[in-house]
Amino acid sequence: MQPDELQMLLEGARRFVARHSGPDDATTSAAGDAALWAGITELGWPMLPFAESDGGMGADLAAVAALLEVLGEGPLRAPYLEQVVLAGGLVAAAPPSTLRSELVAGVMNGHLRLAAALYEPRHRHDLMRCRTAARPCDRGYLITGDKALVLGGTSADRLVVLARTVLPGDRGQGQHGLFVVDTRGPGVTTRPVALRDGTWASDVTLQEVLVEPDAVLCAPGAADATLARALNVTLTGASAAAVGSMSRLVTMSVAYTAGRKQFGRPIAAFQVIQHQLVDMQRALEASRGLVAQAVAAGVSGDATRFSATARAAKAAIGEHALYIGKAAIQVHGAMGISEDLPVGRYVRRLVAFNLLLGDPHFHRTGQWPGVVTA
Amino acid sequence: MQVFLRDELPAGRRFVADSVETMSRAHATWWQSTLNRRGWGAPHWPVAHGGCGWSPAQLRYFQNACAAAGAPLPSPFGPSMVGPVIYTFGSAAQQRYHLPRILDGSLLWCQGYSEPGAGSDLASLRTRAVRDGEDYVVDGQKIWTTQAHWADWIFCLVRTGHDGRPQDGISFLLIDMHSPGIEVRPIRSIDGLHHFNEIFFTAVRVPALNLVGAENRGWSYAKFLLENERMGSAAVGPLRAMLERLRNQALSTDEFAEPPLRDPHYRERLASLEERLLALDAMELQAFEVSDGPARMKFAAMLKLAASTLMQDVSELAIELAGPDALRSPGDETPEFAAAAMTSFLFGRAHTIYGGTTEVQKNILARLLEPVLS
Repeated sequence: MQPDELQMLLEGARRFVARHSGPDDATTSAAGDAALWAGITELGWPMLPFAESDGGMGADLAAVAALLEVLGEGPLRAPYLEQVVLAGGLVAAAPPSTLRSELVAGVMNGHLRLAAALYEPRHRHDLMRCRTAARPCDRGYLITGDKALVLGGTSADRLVVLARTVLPGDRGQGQHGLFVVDTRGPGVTTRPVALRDGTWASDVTLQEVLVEPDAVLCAPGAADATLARALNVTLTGASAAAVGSMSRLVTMSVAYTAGRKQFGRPIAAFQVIQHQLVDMQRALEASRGLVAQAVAAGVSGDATRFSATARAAKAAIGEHALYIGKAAIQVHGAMGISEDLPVGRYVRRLVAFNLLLGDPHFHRTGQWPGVVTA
Repeated sequence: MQVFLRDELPAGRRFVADSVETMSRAHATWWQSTLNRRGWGAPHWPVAHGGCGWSPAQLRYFQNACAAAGAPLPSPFGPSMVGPVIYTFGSAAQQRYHLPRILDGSLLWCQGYSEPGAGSDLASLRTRAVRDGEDYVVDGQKIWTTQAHWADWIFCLVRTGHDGRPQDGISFLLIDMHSPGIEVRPIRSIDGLHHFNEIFFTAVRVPALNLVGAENRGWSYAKFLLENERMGSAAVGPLRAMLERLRNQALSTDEFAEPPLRDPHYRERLASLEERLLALDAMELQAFEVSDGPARMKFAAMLKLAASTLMQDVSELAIELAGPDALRSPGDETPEFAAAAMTSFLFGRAHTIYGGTTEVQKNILARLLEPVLS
């Protein structure tokens, strides 16, 4: 992808995001979501992260992060990160197969909406201790278990499900595999979950869902590298989107405090407010730098470095995001608590960013696919 | 006391002690009238006015017992705020009419202080009351009025004079919320709920008999009230109940496959909050001992600072412990503690804004240092 092509894509994205972001945006209805997704497909975003050899635009991680930053500025609540970057990323990083080619083509042309079913109830941030079982049978695998907070799940046609093989005499060791199931298939129950930031997820129950060999995306024991690549790209993308939201909060805070007068002068004339604004800017610039580090690690080809850097960025930016969110409310005073300004919308978005896909403490200490811990 | 609380608050009727966010008029009225039937409608008031003449330490013991028993928070505006103003500065007629109705909860109050242009700089308020025969005619606007949508009466700061310092032209007026010319508009807040309102006064006629104390002396009554509010802000009982609940939930194997409190990181975080509560508890006891003006002012500001930030940090730890489940919108499928944690986190940003922001409290404390520094 050429630099000028990327610039055009980002300019188009800014216009689209400005038109489609708001307190009551299209994602609240299925029809609205479908129309929004049609617009997104027209702009070519689903093709952006896929390789040219797959028919995609072959954009590098820097371009994907740049687009997500624009989405975060909206914030646009369409499930682009969830469905294209995460679920699509799992497909892109999977070994070659007929299934892989079919899914890549479907995601890129916008006709197939995919979501990733990774997390489970009561497990907080830990996705590797997955209990969903894949039992071998003569026609493939039978998948049974509960998945929680499948991001973008309400508008998905198919799910990429993380499950663990259970062999006779298994004592819980098992091996992780990725399996593709139809959200309307037999044995699959989904329940929509409205999240506090206005996005949607679903809880999914799988009851002896048959997955034939041609729907196995990553065979048991061969999923770790795929999971690691897609998740680390997603952490980087989510961090970039958070930077977009944080930059809006900083800009709004500077403008508000310059205009709000108390004691006969703008409150930005008080040193205590100035210091607060400076700390917010510092947190924003640190976050931007961390995204750049994660992007550089992602394109380096060194998987270990990428995991370490993307997780470090997610952890630190999560804290910066929470700080900026709280500080933005404080300098806006009661206006920051009310829904008359969009401050709360960005703050809820950043709180969600911090708590999803592993929070700071988890990324500093917890298990992650592809990372061997002592 | 324990017998009373056990009889009135059977297991099915217990409230989450900190959830002022989800209080309703019915809860407030029920609990106030229940307390009053036992003679404890406002036990800190003088016996002559229907109280028990309890000392602050006795009141505190009672409030802590109530919080531990799961009592709802009583509405503070009548018993804690305007009641003492009325029995200290009000006329005999005001005392006769209002005090019994505050005690039995039959009339609920709200507080008309902030205006769109007068927040931290409260003295710049512009809602005006002009004397016309036996009445004042009130025009203007109040904002951030908690519970104005239920309240029967409002105590209001209004401008009656324009000479001298802005503080010198303010009066304290009691206004019936059912008077013609009052319009209440809801403000939706960051947690999606309705706590705040805007109130518009258009040629509202208020009998001059509803003036508290002397005209243009309202600022001193307002300061008396604000200092009482800050002195009473420690909320040690509700905080202790919150922390205990948090400890139990974070150890629950029903909620978590791996209870987070098994992790020393969270044990340390929780312990640090419990230490802050111990210190706050001690500071509140110390505050009861001081009687001179500057020392009272100092303790009032320090209690407000310590309590407001502690409440925020408790809810921040609560959402971290709940993890991604904290992002689920409140509803049947959402674990109650996770939904309550996020509501407290979001709306709890208000603790460092209302009743004088953190910045204002620090300015008060800094001014008290001036004699030492200069």
